[in-house]
Amino acid sequence: MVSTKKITRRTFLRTSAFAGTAGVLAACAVPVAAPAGDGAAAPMMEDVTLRMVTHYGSPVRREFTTRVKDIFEATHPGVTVEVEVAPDIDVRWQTEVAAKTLPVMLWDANLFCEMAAQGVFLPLDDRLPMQTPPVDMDDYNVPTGAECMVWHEGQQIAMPWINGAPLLYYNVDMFEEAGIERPSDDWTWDDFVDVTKELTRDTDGDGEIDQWGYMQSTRWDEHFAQWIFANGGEIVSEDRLHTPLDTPEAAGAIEFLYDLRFTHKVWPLAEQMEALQALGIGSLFNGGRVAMTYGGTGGVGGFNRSVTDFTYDILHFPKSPATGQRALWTFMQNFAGPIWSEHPDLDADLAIALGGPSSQRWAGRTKIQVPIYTPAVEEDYATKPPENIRVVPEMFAEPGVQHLPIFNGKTEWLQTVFGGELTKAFIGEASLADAITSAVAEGDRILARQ
Amino acid sequence: MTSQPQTAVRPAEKASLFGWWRWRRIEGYLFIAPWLIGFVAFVLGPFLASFFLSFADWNLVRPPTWVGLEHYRTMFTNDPKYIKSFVNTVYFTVFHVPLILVVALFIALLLNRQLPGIGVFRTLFYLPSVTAGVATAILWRFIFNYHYGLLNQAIGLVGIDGPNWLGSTKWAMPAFIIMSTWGFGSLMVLYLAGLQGVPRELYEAAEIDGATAWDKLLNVTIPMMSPVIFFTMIMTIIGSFQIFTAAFVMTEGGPADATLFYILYLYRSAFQWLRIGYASAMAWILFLVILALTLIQLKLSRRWVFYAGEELT
Repeated sequence: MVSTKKITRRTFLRTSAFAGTAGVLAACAVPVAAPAGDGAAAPMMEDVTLRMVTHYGSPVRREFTTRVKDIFEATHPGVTVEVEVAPDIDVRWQTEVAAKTLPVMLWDANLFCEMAAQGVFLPLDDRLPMQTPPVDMDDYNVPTGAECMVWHEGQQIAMPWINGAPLLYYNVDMFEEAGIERPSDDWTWDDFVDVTKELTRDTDGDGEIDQWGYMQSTRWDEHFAQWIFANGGEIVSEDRLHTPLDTPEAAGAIEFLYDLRFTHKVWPLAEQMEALQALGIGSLFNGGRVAMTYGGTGGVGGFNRSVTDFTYDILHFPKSPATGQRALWTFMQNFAGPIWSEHPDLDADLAIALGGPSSQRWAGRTKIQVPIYTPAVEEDYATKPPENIRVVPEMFAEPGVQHLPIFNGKTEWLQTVFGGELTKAFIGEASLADAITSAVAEGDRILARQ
Repeated sequence: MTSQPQTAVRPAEKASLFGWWRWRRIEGYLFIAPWLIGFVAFVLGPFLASFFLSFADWNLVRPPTWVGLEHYRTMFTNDPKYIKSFVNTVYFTVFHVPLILVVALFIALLLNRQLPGIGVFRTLFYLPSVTAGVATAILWRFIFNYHYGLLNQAIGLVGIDGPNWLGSTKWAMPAFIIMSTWGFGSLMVLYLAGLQGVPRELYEAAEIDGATAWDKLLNVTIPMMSPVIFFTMIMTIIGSFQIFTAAFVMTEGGPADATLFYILYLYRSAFQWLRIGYASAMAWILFLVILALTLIQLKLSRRWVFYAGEELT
């Protein structure tokens, strides 16, 4: 007897709901590789995709990563390197660490050492001699204080990339117009004030200052460290429990900067900078409104490409009258891969390629930063322009070069102390004394928690 | 006349009925299973996880360490920025909520007319509330520019020297309050719908009694609109406690923490400083504060919210 039972709407809906739910659950399931049988070889993956993430997306940096990617893929058939630029890398890596999908990444110092201490990174030692040519770490000038960014418990867990350092850029044309000769390498803070005063002027005669002698940011520790270190001060104590910005040396340096803005008025106020930026003058130095600016060594390549309306050059920082010295801090970046990599040899090779001699030389030639590979500094980076590029290797050759302090909780500390409390004085919302007091108090409070 | 015989359910039928009911229940769960799975995985799970994390110290790198009530203690006794962020948020809420409610109601009253082209105006007034938060924040940053911003240029025409809105600790918060008012469109739409529901007869009766426009507003419109106003007030208070995008884009909490809002500080604690446990504790405190405020408002609503059809006490 043939069944004449019809499919009712309810039956249809019931079946569809069941099938839909089963489909959703199946889609969420994680595929599990079939286990190899006894004696059988594991199945070979013919095509491998590696991931690499960086947080710099400038055209030059993209050119760098594309170059390394192309060379790596050419020398590693079957391997594809996916390069990603993640401006929100501070948030991004957290997700990747939690999911254990961390790729080969470009790292800053602030978080790297703490993560290294947790064993997050892939050892590179076995792969270094396997490169063509083999990589000799003796040629790498890892700055004092940054060892944890390269080694952990005797193993090398990252490939050093660059050494960043502060630089003093100046507008040669403005100096010449004002009849000021290039300052000597031994100039002092007092000379600096005199020069900036001469360069601060009303150029169009409307009664408003529209050209200033100097400008810098107050956002990070690096913006103050140069001056504080030169004056004999420190930004954090040796035991990382205290923020000694209230010592005469440190406070004296901060007051020097404060006076540039509010006493000598050679540094535009925050609202003046904001007004100029609203007019589309993104960078006051590039826009010809500021004669000297505090920048980083990474700016040389950028200025070589972008500064076309005037001639720029670089200067040694002036010496502190208290110590007769200037100081140099550095910060290092590196490349590292994760310990849980599915392709540890390939990820290690990629990290090494990114920081290897060939990449270092390219970085030196383009001057996107100062290479850590010593031959690349001398033979590639230290070439004109600018005219006095010799300042950079001379800076690194001076005694006392140290990496900015690295410690747990540093991000919160520096954002609170410098970008928060000290900046209040520099935007006119607090007296300098109060700002230093609160910066020390807040800094100590944060350090005590670590 | 026959009556329906009462049929007792025999055991076999009972079993069948029970099976049928059970299958109906399973069917229902199957239908809602996708949503239920998502809710558990993405809402309830993280909700419970954040509760336990609020009692632990965790920075994503080290394993979580139990610290008990330490985060809650720190918040109220050893973190001036936390107190500052809370005070800033309350300051913003106290001024933002009444202002936006009044502006939205006022515009809704103006637009509650049958005029040619009224739809165009309703659309124009609604548009700001659908623009992206980041784009809005960037736009207002230009509007508030001290030297060249539209606002200071406009008030300069009448001889007022505008302040440095976003660069002054005194004026930054008023700037945010002004800016946040431009998103009144969503409330306006709700009020328009509410106004459409006020019976015409009530206005006619009031006119017969000699009521002026103001009398009608106070004694007819607002009481009849009170449920809608109550709803929008609760939702606006909840929303204002969670202000984030504008501060993140425009001032990053500055100048000098003048616009350091609660959620912005929570975000920094969690995602910039990796104090996941502390941020979780902050989130729970915010939840409790908003819950308390909502319950208080519910309690107070009995005095002034009138629902049509309920007896007047």
